[in-house]
Amino acid sequence: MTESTDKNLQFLSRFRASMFENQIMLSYKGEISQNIMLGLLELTERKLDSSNEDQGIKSKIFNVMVGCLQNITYHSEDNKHAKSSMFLIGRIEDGYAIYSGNAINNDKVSDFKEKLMSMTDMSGTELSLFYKTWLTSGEMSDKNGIHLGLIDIARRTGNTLDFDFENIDADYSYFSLRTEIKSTL
Amino acid sequence: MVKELNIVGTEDTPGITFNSQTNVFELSGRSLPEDVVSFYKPVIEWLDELEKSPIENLEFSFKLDYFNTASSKLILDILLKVNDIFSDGTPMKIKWHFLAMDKDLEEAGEEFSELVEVPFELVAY
Repeated sequence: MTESTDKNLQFLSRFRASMFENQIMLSYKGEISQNIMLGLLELTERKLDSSNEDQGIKSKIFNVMVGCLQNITYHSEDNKHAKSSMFLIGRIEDGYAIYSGNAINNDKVSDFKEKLMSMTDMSGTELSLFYKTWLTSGEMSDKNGIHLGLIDIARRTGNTLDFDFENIDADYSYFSLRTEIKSTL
Repeated sequence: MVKELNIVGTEDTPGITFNSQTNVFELSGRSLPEDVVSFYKPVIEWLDELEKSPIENLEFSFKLDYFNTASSKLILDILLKVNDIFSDGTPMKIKWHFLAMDKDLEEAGEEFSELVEVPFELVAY
């Protein structure tokens, strides 16, 4: 065994420990396109089926996945960090944690942050009302659609959104999002 | 004359059919396309034709598994169009099917039913 293979194996061991600690059942890093999203949905479906997960929670996971992944796809265009997008699902007590991460252009960060902050204090009823107002407003811009994706995730998960923005270079920040899906919801 | 509709479902788009023998319009499967507006264009056009020559007692059956937020907007557009035809005096009905365990899909049906006057039945399976 050379020194470099030893180092590589150490990495694997650390990675495995971290995955184990967070009970990660699915992890992906790379560009996210519509086709990749469909692949991830299929993988998740197979995993959930093999653990006999009930349809109610499965449906919630799917809806949240689509919201997260299409949000990433939307921000991927002309994004030099598109390949650093991430998506993970981990088990937690009576449910699942969904993690997603992607780089966002710094120009969009403050608006995005503001929208997320305005959601954090909303109750379930307020989120639903907000959603319905959008649904019936007649507007259909991409921007609203994406923001709505986040509102939709929030109302489906009992508003358990945790997020963070980390500056990565002059043009981009990395947006991390974590939400929980509990079978008791 | 309103044409038959036969859009075959894919991994991310629903199957959409209209059978003029049974008078049933059915939308089923997953609706997660990136570009919802262009996907649903033929359906909206079909509804425009229906508005010109309405068919009585048509049943609009929704049997969706999953749909993204953008699709919910287009589903509402379809329902509102059906509502317009109904309000002009053509009897119709809407059936919203959902898997009994799927609360989110049931709630989505309830939300849609509040936005139209057409007889709207929620069917658990």
